[in-house]
Parts: sequence; structure tokens; C-alpha cells
Amino acid sequence: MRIVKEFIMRTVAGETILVPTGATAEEFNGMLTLTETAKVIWENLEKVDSLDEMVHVLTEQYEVDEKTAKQDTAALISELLRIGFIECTKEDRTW
Amino acid sequence: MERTETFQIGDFCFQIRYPKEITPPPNFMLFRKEGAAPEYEYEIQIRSDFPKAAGRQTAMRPDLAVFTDGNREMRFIGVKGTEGYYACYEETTDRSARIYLDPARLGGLNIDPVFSSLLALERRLILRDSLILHCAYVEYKGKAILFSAPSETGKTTQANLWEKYRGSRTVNGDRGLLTRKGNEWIVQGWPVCGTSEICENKTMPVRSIVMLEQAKEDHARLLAKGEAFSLLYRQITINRWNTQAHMYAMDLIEDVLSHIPVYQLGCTISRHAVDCLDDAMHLSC
Repeated sequence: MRIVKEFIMRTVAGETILVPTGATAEEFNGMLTLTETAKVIWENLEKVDSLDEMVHVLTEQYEVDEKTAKQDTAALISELLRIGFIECTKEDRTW
Repeated sequence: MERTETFQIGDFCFQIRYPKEITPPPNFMLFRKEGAAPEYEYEIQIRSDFPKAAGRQTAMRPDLAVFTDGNREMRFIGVKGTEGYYACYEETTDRSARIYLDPARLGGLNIDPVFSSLLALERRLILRDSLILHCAYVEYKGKAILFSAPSETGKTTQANLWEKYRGSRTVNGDRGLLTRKGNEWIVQGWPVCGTSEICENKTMPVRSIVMLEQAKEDHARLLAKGEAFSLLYRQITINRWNTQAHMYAMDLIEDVLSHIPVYQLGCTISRHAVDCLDDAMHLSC
């Protein structure tokens, strides 16, 4: 996956937020609050190469079963793709 | 014939050289500062053909196009709902900018935001630890209460209720300039006051910031820092196309939150809304 928009990630009072900046700020107003796991997913989006790898990253760090991690990750990725924050880097669009 | 005058808004002292056809709005003239040493110079010219845009386009809105070339900015400034631009702003050195005005659109310059937008003031003020907050700025017992919210929520209405039931006084109905002074934050006057028509050049410490929302029943509470950040951020003028300035503005907002209590007031138009907020604010004292 590739992050295609510009964001500043920031922690305010223990909460992680994603704030659109630069040209992205012209398209999206406001900010997104990330849960702890969403933060890990965002930080690793461009580092891993598949959904399974991302699930592995999560299950290594958190006490979460593989099925739940996979469902949650797929849901977030699908939403980020829908709103155009990220795009697939693989031709078959599996990642 | 030209006129040259010096102004000070917040901690920013600047000079404007402008032709006789231009008259800055009365609210802007409240910030005239004779005898002060300007740190920045603006030159206003009337010219129908604006210079060509130079640099990388960093923002494009219906009323504003910004081009960036290194540290310098060039802006084409318009009014929402009106086609074309009435002015072009071009930074010529680190301490000066030139502004070109369309001769056919000089009539609108007596409107506060139309004139003040010529100067890209927020760009200079962030360097002086200052943030422009969209708020009704009210003086109460020697300190400021800042009622902030999106337009049409009722900032002026709550300010008027406080005037009626608590004897406070509105200093500016639409904007205040928050400025960090050492380890505290103060609020200073701003030359734009919206429809309230109340605008004074007055400085005072800040008692609290109140984020308003309309509600069927009055309720007030002290906001946690994370909640307050998101609400306050939306009401502050930030050049988000400039990532460095954007990040610094967020640093400053966090600092504001470390020093000033921020409340949320869900309110009706009533004396009860005033009592409700008063109770909440006293609880935290």
C-alpha cells in the first residue's frame, strides 16, 4: 500500500490524530483520531507487503486473535482506500 | 500622492504605503501606531494587470490561490461567490511585500476582511507566537472569556447574554488574537469584527475559552485536552498549505491548552445558559 495524501501524525493528550496538511488540507477538513491498533496499521502500511504480514505485525504486538485482527485490518484498509488516502501497490490489488 | 502609515497588530509592527484612492477601514485604523519602528513594509499599488504567478501552486480555493517559491509567497485574493481576484500579494524581500489592486474593485476595500486579507497577517503573526481565533472576545472582571464556534452558532448571542446578566463587555464580536507572552497567553484586538460591529484594540489575560454548540438544554463542562484540541483547531486561522507553519500552529494550540481551560457549552438563548457556564467555570477555580 502507498499513502497518497499528506498527513501530520501527532499525539495530543495520549490520542493519536492524523491531520491533513499541504494540498490534502484543501480536500479534507478536520482530522482523524486513530485507535492504538489503527496507528500501528497506518505506520506499517508502506512497510509490509500483504494483509497477512500486517496481521502478523498486530498479533505480535497485541493480544488479539488472528481472525479479529484480519477482519479489523481489512475493514480499515478498505475504508482508507475508499476515501482515497491510500492506494494499492500490487497489480492484483490484494495489497 | 501616496500615504505612509505605521500599524501594530498584536506584536507585529508594520508600515503600509498606499495611494490616495485607498482608505483602510475604520476598524483597521484603530491599530495605527504613530512613531513605532516597523519591522515589515507593505506597498499597495493600483494596477489592472497582475504579475504572473511564480513558484509552485500550494493552495487553490475559490477565493485564494497561493504560490510558493522558497520562503516567499504570492497570493491571488478574491471574495467567495465573486469571480476573479481583487488583489495580488507578492513578497518581495524577507521584510516587504507588494500588493496590487484591481482598479475596478476598490469599492470593497472598506470591508474589514477584504482589506486585512491583503496583508497575509497570519503568516507574520505565527512567527510571533500568535493565533487568530474565531471567537466573540468578552471582557469579564478584567479577564477575557472567548466564545468560539463556527459561524451562525451564536457567539454574539452568548456574548450579549453575558453582557445583560453579568455586566461583561464585548471587545470584538468575531475574532481575537491569542498571543503567548512568556508563560501565559493573552488576547489582543483584531481589526475584523464580523456583523457585531464591535471592535476594540484591547489586550488582556484570558480567563477561559468556551466552545459553543446549540442545544435544547444547557450543559457545560471542562473539556479534556484531546477533545479541546480538535474543536479549537477548527476555529483558528492556519495556513495548512505551509506544513512548517501548520505544525507550529498545532504546537501553539497544545500550549494554549496547557495554560487556558477550555469548556464546552451546549446552550439555549437564555439566562440559564449564562448561569450554567458560570457554575462550570467556578467549579474549576
